[in-house]
Amino acid sequence: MAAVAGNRARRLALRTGHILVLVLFVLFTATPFAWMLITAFKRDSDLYNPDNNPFWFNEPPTLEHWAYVFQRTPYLQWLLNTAVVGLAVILITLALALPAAYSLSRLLGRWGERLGIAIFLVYLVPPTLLFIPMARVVSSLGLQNTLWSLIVVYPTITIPFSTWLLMGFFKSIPRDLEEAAMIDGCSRLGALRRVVLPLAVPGIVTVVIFSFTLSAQEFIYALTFVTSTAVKTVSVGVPQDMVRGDIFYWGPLMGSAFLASVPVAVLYYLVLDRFIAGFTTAGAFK
Amino acid sequence: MWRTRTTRRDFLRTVGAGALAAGVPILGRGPSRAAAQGGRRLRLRILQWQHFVPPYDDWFNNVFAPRWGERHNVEVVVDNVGLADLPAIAAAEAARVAAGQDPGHDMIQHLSPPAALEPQVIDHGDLIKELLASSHPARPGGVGNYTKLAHLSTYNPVTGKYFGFSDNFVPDPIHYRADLWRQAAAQLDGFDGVHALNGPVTWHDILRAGRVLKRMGHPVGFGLSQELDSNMILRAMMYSWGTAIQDQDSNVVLDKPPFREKTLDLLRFVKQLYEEAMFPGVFAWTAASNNEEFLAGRLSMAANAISISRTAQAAALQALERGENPETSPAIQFAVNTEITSLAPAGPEAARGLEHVMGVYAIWDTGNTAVIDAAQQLLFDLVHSFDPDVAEAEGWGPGKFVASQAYDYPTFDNAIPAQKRLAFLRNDPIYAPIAEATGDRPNKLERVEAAMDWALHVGWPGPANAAIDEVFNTFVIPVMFARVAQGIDRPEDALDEAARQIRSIFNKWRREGLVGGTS
Amino acid sequence: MPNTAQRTVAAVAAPRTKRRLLDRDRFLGSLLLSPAVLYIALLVGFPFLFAIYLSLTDATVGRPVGAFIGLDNFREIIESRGFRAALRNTFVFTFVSQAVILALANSLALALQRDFRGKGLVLFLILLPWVAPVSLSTIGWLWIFHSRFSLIDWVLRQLGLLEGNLFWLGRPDLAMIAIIVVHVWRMFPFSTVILMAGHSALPKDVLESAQVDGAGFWRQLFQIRLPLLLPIMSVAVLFSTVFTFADMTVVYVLTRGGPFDTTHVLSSLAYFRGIFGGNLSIGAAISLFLFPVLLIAAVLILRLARRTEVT
Repeated sequence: MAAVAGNRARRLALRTGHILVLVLFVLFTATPFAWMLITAFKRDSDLYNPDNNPFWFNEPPTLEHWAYVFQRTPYLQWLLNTAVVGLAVILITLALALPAAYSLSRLLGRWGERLGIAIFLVYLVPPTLLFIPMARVVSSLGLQNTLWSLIVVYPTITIPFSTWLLMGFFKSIPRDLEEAAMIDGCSRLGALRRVVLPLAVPGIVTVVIFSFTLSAQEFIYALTFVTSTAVKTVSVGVPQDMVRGDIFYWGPLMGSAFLASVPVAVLYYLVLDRFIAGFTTAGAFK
Repeated sequence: MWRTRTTRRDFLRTVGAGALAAGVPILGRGPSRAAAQGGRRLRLRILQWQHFVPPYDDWFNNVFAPRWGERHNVEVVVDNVGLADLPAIAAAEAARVAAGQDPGHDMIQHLSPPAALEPQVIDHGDLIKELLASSHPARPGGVGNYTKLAHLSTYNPVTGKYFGFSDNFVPDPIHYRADLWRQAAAQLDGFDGVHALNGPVTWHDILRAGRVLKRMGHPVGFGLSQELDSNMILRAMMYSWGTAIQDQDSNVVLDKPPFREKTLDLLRFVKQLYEEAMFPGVFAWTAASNNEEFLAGRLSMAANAISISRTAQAAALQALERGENPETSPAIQFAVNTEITSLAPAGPEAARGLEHVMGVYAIWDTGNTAVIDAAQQLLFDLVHSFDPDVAEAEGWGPGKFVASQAYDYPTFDNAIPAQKRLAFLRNDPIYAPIAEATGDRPNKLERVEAAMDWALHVGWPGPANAAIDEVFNTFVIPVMFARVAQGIDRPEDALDEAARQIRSIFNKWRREGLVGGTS
Repeated sequence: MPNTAQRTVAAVAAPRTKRRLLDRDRFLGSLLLSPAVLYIALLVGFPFLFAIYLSLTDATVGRPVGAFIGLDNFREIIESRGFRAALRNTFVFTFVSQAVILALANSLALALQRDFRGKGLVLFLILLPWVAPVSLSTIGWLWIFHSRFSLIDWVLRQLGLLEGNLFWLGRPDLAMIAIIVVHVWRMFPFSTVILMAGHSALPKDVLESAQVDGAGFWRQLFQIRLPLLLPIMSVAVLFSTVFTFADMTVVYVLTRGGPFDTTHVLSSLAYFRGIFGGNLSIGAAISLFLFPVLLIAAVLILRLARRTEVT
């Protein structure tokens, strides 16, 4: 009897500990967003009182910040631009990184290994000042102040890492599967399409997530290549239109930060299972 | 008549009496020859900041620019970006100009003199000359002088070139809470009526009253951090103490006798001011801090453009609209108690203050003369538009001064004559409803007018050169003061390190041939 | 390894076919690889070489073509106090953040191994920091660490632990903590997801036999789980290192290098001196200073990752 009770107490303690850990983590990640959401509806006079509870309404809520976001700025256009750039970058990244990774992992042997390292290193090029010569490149291509400038430049950041990531996935797919398909009369490219790519879908999901996140977050290139309000992305448009001179428009800023994050989080959440499965099959344990 | 002046520019050729006959507004110009010849409409692309006063952008983008464009058959495109982002965009565009490419914009409005960009921009000297010679019937007496403040901010004596064109500056007065100030003054001996009524007169006043104000829970707040406001107020103090980074000929003098002792004296004063009248937040100061801290009711004093007053007034107007009682509404009372000083606080040597922002347009030297001419014409008219009567005659809405709510002050001192500036400030349309509801005087901001006399520029008494700009933007001065105030460095060590950095920066730009001086 | 076995068999059975195949592999391989390489070389090649060139000249913002001055810029920055602090900070921020991220991500990934009600919501809330545009979420943190309105200070005041304010961004130690907190906050969700995948892919038989052998939780964690997870952890580490090491936004928005030049990192210092200060060549030298070091580090890490993968 005592043993059973002890066991139960232990399990209860474990469970409580488990819940406590999760609550702490969620508090850490989500508190800023809860605050953002409340601030987006808060009157300035409420916000600017340090004695007020920052997590609740001490004065009646207001919609004026949202009016600013939607009436004074083309916020929806920026969201759309961000999505367009993100999708295009995903397509270009996949189109170039998939063959490159396959080639490096399957066709080029040890030489491919070294080249793989080299290609990854491109990722470490310090970006702080690259935007100046890059602005000239964009200009000679005639792309400045268009979304194309971002669509063309971002893959230079996403391709190296994606290639390296996909190499790992391809290596984990047993070679015999592919060779069996080739014996059955498939060409190498046919085998690639019918056998290898379907197995690499999880890796592709990883690349998609990575590319989209990067293009939605990038700041310096977006700042210098695109200056017309109508072609800005969220990460540049929002701080530019909602910090005027030395005044932060906290309500609109936090409202649009919240609104820009949630849909992407939902999307990622939906593909999360595939993502995890991706790493599992690509797994490092083969 | 301004449009009959001689000019070498095709673009500025006017149709003269023909325009009158055709019923075009009195000073309208005909279409430019460049535009007429090409048959294609000229495009003029301008990059400027998101103005602190949103109605200003509404005016510039939706009234002035399109109407001006229509008159001159030019399509004007205005892009507005955040002020912190201007330097990065300007750097990228300069690289394009240097490579013979299209920069993306034809001119940029910088918020501090862009001396380093000099090799890639046109000489704006002719434009200044033309303005000095111009006049308008709605404003007798021409646009006045190009003030010394503007001249020293845009002219490089080494190359003899105007690397920029300043159309406006923004004064940087001291804001203080009149209610708190009166309470503090009551506790102090020798704070006579003038002190109590008109705010601090000297930095010594600020230190003395600051001790009391800090005890009352309302410290004074002057930034000691890596941002614009700290840079400005610390320079104002240096000038008032009789010291500066460079002399008139761009020699570094900060640590040379007799300036060395003055600088050290000021370093010790700022440490004392921090310890006795300020709080650790000054080390985390951002451009928004003086607004936020002041508006939160915690600060008794801060230096800023009139944005603090305007923000307080906007909140008060909202409270008024909500029907709050003017006598008891905190927001309305706050606006009533927010005052600015008319003079910069005096140090041991003089009472000197700074501009808060220098609006400096610079036109890229792309070789496209039609566009460059159009850009200069727009700036020419923009200066004229300061005067509300000229603006009205030309169909440009309320004009630059009124549209900016007196935030932008003219650098041509008669672009809007003093009496018209005062007429606006004495019956300030933004503050008038609050004044009426509370019985306060409507000329709350009239004191800002004195800035025309006391505002100095970054780099005073020498020119605002590229070295001064780099020292400014890498925050050498605030870091020097902050390290002493925190007790990390002795004043002598902080000064020597700062002077070493400053010399290294000056020498680099001297090698570039952009900065004069030898030591 | 099945692959090697397969290959040997093929090689023994048909040496000539294999040779032809190899030749074709080389060709096909180059064909598939070249678009990516060309794309990057064409777009990044010129800017990168140009940046190296800048660092060796006296170029400025207004005159991006300067005279060659050798390594003078590097000599100058090494002598400056601000640069040495930025160099140190870059490493401190990266390593401390990585350590904290790994610890947090591992614990959270373990806690998420179990199924429970509301797991989906928890996952969603944990993912948020990683998807928020960093330029915006850091502005949010600016308020959280605000001198006057800090949410943390408010909570501490409510708990009676604090009077007044901590002035997070006005004190060097707290400002550095603030920067690390933001880096951890935005990067650890992604590391968690990667490690969740890793934990769930651990071979069940190994774990079970360990359980049978009576290995406790900690022994299991340190002797079995973590070593097995090493390769996948290196993915997570590499990933967030690259995001943290080269990142400028967090420092730029939160402290701008302050208080008094104590929190600059190389990328932010390069930006301030090169762009705001107009001293392009010095900025380029600062941002390129570590490139050789990064190269070596990346080679080592990648070697390590691949080797552990094979065994």
